[in-house]
Amino acid sequence: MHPLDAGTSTVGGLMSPDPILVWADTPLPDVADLLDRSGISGVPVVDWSGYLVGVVTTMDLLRVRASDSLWPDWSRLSTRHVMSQPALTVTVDTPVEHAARMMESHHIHRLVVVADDGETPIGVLSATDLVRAMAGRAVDRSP
Amino acid sequence: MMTGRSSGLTVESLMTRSPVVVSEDDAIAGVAELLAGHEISGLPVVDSADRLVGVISQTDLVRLRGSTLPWTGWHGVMVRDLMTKPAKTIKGSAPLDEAARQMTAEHVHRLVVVDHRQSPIGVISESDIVREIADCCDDG
Repeated sequence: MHPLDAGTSTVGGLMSPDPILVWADTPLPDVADLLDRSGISGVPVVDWSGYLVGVVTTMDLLRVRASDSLWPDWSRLSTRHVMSQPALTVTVDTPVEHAARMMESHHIHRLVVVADDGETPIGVLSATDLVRAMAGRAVDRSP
Repeated sequence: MMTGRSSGLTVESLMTRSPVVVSEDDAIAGVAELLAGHEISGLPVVDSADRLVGVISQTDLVRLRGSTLPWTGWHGVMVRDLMTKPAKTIKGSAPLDEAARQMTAEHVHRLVVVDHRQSPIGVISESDIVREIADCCDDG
């Protein structure tokens, strides 16, 4: 099979399961540390019930860094102040082509995969996941 | 409590030097391999004279993945067909907050630094700036 012949796959086969999550109250310095150490560019944000309320990304942090009014308050800001909301979601059954078109049209690099309740994050599908699959490096997620 | 402040760092102090580049005549399949293998999100594209002509990124590949073009048609797609041009550039001497402002204003995730011949000599990305933010403002 040619590396680009990924066929008509669904999100469930390509997503990164068990995503790292942050609380809406998580301080931004902790988010910066987390993104820096984990090497990822965005994470879902949940409330105290574990429900999805947004996504916080490296671009959200850069927006603070670039702002003369926000940057002096860096250490006092929480995720809720800068996160993108609402998060765009898909399910494990969403076709990959559809997910790719969502990312493209909304100019975003990740979609949150939610459970049947529509609110609990169970995975993230990122542009990196798509590119890895296109490169034929898809990780086999089967046990 | 530490508050956010300017670190005084410049783009060239944090940029990735001698970045991996691809040719506008390269095939897209190889670029996907490069991006996945190096775990990077975008690369400068150069012409035959090694001059910067664009950037090819995950975003461009996502656009291809969501296209109606049949998978079998992708094998012939070249970097020049898919890249974003012109590439956004910044001076190596620019302060980091200027790089952050330019990235957020222009909605790009990396900026290329070029020499007097327009050859790429460095790339500064979002993750470089996040590292600086994380390091400079550690409460620990």
